[in-house]
Amino acid sequence: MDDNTSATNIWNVDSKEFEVVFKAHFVKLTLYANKFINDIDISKEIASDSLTSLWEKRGTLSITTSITAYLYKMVQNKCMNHIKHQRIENEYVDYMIRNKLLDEIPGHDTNPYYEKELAEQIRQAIDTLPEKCKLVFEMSRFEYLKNKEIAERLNISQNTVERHITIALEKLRKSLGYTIGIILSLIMQ
Amino acid sequence: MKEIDKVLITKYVTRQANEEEIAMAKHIIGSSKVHEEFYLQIYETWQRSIYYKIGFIDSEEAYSEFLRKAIHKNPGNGSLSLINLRNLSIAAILLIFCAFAIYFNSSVFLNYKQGSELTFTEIKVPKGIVRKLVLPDGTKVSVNAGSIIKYNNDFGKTSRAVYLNGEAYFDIAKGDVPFIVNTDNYTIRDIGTVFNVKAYSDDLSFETMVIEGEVQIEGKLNIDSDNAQKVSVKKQQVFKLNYASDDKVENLSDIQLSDIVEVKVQKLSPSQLEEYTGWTEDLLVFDGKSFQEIIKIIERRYDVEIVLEDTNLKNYEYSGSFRNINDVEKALKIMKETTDLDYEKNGRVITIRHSDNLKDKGL
Repeated sequence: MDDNTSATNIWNVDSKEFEVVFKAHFVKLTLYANKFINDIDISKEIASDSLTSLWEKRGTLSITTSITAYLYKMVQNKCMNHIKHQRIENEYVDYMIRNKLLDEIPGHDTNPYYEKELAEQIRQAIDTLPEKCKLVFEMSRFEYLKNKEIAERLNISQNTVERHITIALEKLRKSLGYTIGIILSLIMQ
Repeated sequence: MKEIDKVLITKYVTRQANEEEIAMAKHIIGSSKVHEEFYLQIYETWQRSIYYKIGFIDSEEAYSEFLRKAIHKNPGNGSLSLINLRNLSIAAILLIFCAFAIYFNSSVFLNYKQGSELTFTEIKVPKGIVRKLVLPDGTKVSVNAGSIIKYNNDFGKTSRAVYLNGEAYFDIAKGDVPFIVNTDNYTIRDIGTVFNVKAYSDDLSFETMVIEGEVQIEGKLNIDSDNAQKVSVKKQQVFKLNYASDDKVENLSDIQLSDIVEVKVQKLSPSQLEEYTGWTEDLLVFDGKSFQEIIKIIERRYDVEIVLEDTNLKNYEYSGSFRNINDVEKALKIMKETTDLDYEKNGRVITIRHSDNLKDKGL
């Protein structure tokens, strides 16, 4: 299957090929949706819905750019619809709209080397956090626990939980500092 | 920037702020470039921290879910790893009927009428990977490397039965219909639970470990009785059955019931649970396991072939745990450092032997 199908081609795949497309895009599309939605579960749903609708359109769809670009655009549209319908306000999305950053497909998201390096940096940064701080951060990020629940479980105050998470993100931000700088400068160009 | 502003912005980004705090956060973000920049970076950082556990976004699970919905929506177009028996000859149908009769040795199978759409889904997990699935009823299953799991496409309507050759961890969704796992020799009947079944047809053992609830195991447990027996296994217990390790026996299906040497139900302490379920989180725990067993686990986990230079080594016992080790050599190096064993890797084949310095000492 050619990812960069040319203008006149109808896009079609069999189920085996589609499995590859699905698995190659799902995580990236989820992360992309999460930029707008900031909720992993809803982002997963949007990524999955977009891929499902691509599958349903196989054989009838003519794509002028590439499947990847098409999927990113579809995810973005679905996110904007979700934000509109749920009346969610998100300063980050506002910022992107104000600065006309929405039409870009994030180049860094499609570069596997960049991704690997980023993952490694994040792993190292989180692993060097103080133990309690790391634990609180992981509970908040990966177990969907409310600060109040974390406080109760660990028998510490809610303020302490909030401080731990702030410190964790602040440290992470600093160790990723130059990377994010690059991203911002890239998309600002 | 004040610490209190940082905490407030962080709470807003991590979605822990209440309405009043959200309004305040928005206000301060708009109040200066410094605050805005801080917010954008914290937001990006929060998003990117997902990379710490990128497996958190599970495309295997999402794909299973997609398959489930796509099949449900479009049964006529079941080209998605389905075997549509209509397209097969009568002979093939009979053949598969026979296979089914063996796998689903229960009334479930008999309920099928010829001519109805008889399809099943087979999920084959190759060596080297673990797959997470969601069955049509919402039951979550982790399937270990080198395993096969099958179920009928009307799964969930009148029965919830799967066939398993290999190892799987089940988190059963609540439902009125009992959940049944069929393996070559035994049937596991669930009563609302979380449990792990290890039944590879090339292993000399069968294991079922219960994390929550209770299961019932049915099958012949000794030669003195012709009837199947039932054993209940409760929370934090493991049922283990070992066959004689006769080198001539290649396949479990060749084993006679007289070869059963040990049947036991053992109570586990919380710290022992990981030995059974660790594999679902890429953790391998060996607590005094024999090399014979360990080799099988490593071969499946890393898709390699292990040869023991000295067959006596298979009785060698080893304890240790390996977390998130993706490279078999890393695991082998750790073993080498903590034992008097050495290894040699040649492509997919690994030879394990006594290390030379010990040989010199005459051991």
